[in-house]
Amino acid sequence: MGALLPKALLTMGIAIAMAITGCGATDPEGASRAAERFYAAASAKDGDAACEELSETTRKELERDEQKPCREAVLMLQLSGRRAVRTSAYVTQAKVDLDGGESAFLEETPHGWRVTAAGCKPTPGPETPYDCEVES
Amino acid sequence: MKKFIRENSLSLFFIALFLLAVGFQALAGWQDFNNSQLSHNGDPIGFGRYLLSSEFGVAVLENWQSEYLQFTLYVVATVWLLQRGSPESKELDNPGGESDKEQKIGPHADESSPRWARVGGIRTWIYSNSLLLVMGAIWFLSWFGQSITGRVAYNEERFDHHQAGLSYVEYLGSADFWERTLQNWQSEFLAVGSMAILAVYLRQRGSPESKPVGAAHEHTGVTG
Repeated sequence: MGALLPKALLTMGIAIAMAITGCGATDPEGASRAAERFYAAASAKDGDAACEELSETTRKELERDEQKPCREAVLMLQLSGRRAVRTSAYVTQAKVDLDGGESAFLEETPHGWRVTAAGCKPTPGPETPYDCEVES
Repeated sequence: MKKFIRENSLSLFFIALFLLAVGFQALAGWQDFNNSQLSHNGDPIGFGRYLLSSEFGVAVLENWQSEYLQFTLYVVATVWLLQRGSPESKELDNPGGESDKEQKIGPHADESSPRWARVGGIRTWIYSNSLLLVMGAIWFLSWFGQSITGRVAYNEERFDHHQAGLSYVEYLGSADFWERTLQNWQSEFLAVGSMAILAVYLRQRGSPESKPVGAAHEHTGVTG
């Protein structure tokens, strides 16, 4: 049993290290870049490029809400901001805060990060979701 | 080899069970995570990614911490607390740390005593409490790991619902952290408490966790 204790402690150490270092998302910078691309495309009135950054469900939701193709509907959104100032990413989900004071939420897909909500502003309650211009 | 296996069969048996259980937990957890992803229109992740994720980390560590806390508390509580008739308790007239002679410490150590029991000073103090120190450290580290991984998993869920994430300190005060912690603690405390009482009246022939079958219910501190 004496020899097993160091092994158990080693295993424990590895598990803790994995938990701490492997806990976040693999590519949080990718989330910031995707959010910036979306905002830049919307600001440049490039609807097709903006829609490419949206998740499939969000794109469908937007088209249903606005009764227009995504490339037109996305240009009707009231968005403010260009540069990511803070990114938090956890496993497959991320939130990017932009310099305009609003946030975007993203999810990681096999094709990279995609925006699931944009133009989001915090609401008064700590548990209530953000109020977003577009979301799935 | 055969002798080694026989003489270590108890630890080997539980290590094998642990590896099997944690392996199947990982597979089931991966399936469950991906099912949840699909139900939220998300994409499934690979098995390797799941193994390194906080979703798996918190599921493992929240159980580890409670098990190590259980044994840590049991080791320390049974120094002073008694249970009449229980083989888990010391004899009723002998609570506490006992004398150096009873514990074979310093000049009372014999040739077969471990060196740190013989040398005295801080080393003997450390060795005298080493089981508690190591079990307590593993408990604390796994609880700390649970808090780190639990926050990541919880914030992932919150972002999925387009809610703000919690800071580490906010997470330590959150219902999610304490629900995960206390749901594990309560089951461990119940199991240990019921073992201490049930072993007064019930027997398992041949087990050192039980009194001998014919031992009186009032007889405390005997195993067989």
